[in-house]
Amino acid sequence: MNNETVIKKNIQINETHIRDFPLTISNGTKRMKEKFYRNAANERNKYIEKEKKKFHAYQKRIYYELNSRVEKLLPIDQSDHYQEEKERLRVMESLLQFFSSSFNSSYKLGFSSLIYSIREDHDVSLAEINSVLKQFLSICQSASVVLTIHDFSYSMFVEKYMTVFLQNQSEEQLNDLIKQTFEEIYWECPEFTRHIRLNLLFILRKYQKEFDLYIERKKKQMMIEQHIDQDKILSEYMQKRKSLLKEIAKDPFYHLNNFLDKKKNILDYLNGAPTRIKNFNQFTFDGNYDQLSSLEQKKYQDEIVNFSDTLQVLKEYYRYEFVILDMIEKFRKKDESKGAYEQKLKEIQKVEKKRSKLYQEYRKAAGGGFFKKVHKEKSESLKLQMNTQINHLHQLYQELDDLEIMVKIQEQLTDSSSLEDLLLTSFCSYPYMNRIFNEHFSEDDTFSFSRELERYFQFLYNPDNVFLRRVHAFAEYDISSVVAEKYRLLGLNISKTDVFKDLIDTTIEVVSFITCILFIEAGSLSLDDMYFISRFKAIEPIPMDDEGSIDVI
Amino acid sequence: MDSQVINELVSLNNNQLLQLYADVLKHLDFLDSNIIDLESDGQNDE
Repeated sequence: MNNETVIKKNIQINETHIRDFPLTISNGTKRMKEKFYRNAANERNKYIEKEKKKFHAYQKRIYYELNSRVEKLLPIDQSDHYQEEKERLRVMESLLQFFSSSFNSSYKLGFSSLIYSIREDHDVSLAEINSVLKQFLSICQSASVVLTIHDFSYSMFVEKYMTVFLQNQSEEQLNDLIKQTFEEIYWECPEFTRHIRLNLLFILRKYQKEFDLYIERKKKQMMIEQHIDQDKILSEYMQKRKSLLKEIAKDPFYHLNNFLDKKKNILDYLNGAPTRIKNFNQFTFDGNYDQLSSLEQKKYQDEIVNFSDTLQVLKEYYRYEFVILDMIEKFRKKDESKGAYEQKLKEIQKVEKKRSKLYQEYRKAAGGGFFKKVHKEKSESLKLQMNTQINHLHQLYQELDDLEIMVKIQEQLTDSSSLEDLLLTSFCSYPYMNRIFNEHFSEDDTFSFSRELERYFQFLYNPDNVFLRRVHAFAEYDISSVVAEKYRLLGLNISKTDVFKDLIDTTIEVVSFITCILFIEAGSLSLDDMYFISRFKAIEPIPMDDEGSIDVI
Repeated sequence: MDSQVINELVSLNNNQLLQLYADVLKHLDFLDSNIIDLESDGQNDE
């Protein structure tokens, strides 16, 4: 720094002047010495006060200059833009699922998530059941399927409940109005949610054609509205998602805030910082990044970014490894269950007929019209029989649900299928995903099926999941060796243990540190500028005047 | 304020400017610490 600035010169002058200012005299009486001291001290104090004013003005002026430089550097918060882009991706994600031939209409229209949300092994309130019913009716209405009480005659209990529900569905007090009906039903039919659930499934089968036609209409409409070509949607989605992720990864606003909020220590990231040197050296073969030629450094940087993307996918792979193992086991046993699904369906059809017959008998016994005699005893007995029949059906539908994944495996997988094929096949069976996720995450209090399914989707449709597409699902493979070997060949010193399930987080931490620096360097705000801003922000602020500048004397 | 001071500030790089700010703060502390409190000196004498 140039020491010859006016301010520095003034500091030196002041220091010398104050230090050398004579406050005492050696001659004279005590009184004279005291008087001299008082006068000298007064005079020096006046001088200091004058200098203080001047230096406060300097302080403000320097602060103003610093502030104006920081203001020019501060990056814009682009969160809203990213949010909009994420929303666009959400739309594309629903289109992807909507256009996929692997999913059935129930899944595509959102019926599956509604029906599975009222499983009786979940804690479901009456209000939640009513909300599901409202949403179910609304989707049906969109598909031009107007449901009436005749569609809810699966059992006498559902019919009684739905009569009140349909009469009051638009009432705000619906939950209170229907509570009494529910209580009356509940004592006769404790598994009432099971009845409702099976009735909804019955409706889906009854109007299958209408729903399929609605999906076709909606697909055409969506393609026109979103200007989307069905064949290109996947590649467009992958491209858009990757570029958005990279854009966010480079965003200087987020990086700067991580430093300002002390989530990351900027001193570790600066050139020459021991942590930075150690981390950059970690994946070089001779342990010295600085010794690499600029071309080698560029290659190293590119591969570190790719490796970072792969690590994120690998971490998710480990999270969902239980699905892979289960699917492999199921694939090996696929021949054992050939035709089982169709057989189960036939069995269900028979039992459904019995249920329907039981209900007809009940209507007669309960007095189906004017002047018809009511056989109370018989109708009570038929209610009990209906409960038994529905419990049986419930069991059969569960077995059918479990068999669905076997059908998907038989249809979609071969000996040469990739890991991606295997995982996508699992995703096609909503009942399978529901069961396996609920079982696996049963100990996790924060588990939410819909959230987990969304995360699973993000994993499957991750543009960086190249190894999932390349690795054969049914071949003998060790995923940590596959990944480590690939990056060793590409010039990174990665060992198999670096990507082990238990150690992957530590590796991700180091790799993320390096990519953070690389992304900052590729962005619009340098690390040095971020360091400058963070040091400025650590200064106690000086209030600005109304014009936005500091009132400098 | 002296235009020379302002010109000098503008010509400094960010690190130099931050350092100068720190020097000014330090100097303000120095000035404060050198003020003699004559009243309390007088009371002490009494």
